Amino acid sequence: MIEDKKELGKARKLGRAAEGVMERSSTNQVTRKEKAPPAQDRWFDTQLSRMYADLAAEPLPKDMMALLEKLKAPKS
Amino acid sequence: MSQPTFDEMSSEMRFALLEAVPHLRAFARSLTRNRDQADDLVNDTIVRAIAASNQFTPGTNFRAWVFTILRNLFYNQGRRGKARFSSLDELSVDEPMEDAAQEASLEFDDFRRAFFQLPDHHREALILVGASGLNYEDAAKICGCQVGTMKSRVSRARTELRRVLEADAVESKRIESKPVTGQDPFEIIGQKIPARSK
Repeated sequence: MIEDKKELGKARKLGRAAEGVMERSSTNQVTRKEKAPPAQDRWFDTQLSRMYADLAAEPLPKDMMALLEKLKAPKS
Repeated sequence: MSQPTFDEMSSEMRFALLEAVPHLRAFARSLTRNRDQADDLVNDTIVRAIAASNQFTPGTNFRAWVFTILRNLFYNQGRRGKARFSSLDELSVDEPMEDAAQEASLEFDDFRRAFFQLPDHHREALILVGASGLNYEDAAKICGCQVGTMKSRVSRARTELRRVLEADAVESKRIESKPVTGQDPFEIIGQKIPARSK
């Protein structure tokens, strides 16, 4: 009787483990499906670089210009 | 020990700081989403970098060092309760573009709007790794996290960006297909529907 219970417990554990594997495999499948194509990532990188370059190239405000002029000036 | 002044900075350090300014402005803008606040933040960063110039370790990445100062200032200002975002001008980009009619420019506007909707840590991860040319190690140091964390932030940021862009596209299609009014246009102008000629 006790052995039967142990066997039943083992079977349940195995069953749960098997379900877990199935869940994991199905999750992995979803992850694979949702993975972005490299072309889209490249497009993101292009847009990011363009945005970064645009922001970096904006005209400097006057107070910052004054600060940078001090930096440019040779040591006194 | 007194803090270094302009005059006490080495020429190399001055040059490196000048060279870093455009990068600092782009990073600040991506964090604050506001031009004026970004420039204030860059000003504060320059002053702080000069004062702390003797703490920079020669041979290490100078840009990463000043980015760290800027980021710390940004988050410290936030924690002090300073109003960081008086207006989120990046969410309503209204600057006229030379080739606004072109599809590429419209796509870029969409991208920019989507980018500025992302949370702070996603924006900074994308800017540091994807645009500023820093590697994952330096980006992780700047953000005070592990390299693995930085990699997953970049990955999640890309996923989120994709989701926002797709949602925007769906929303645009929905608006385009929505009729302006439920009434027949001929009824509105008081005319009968013209019979179709066969």
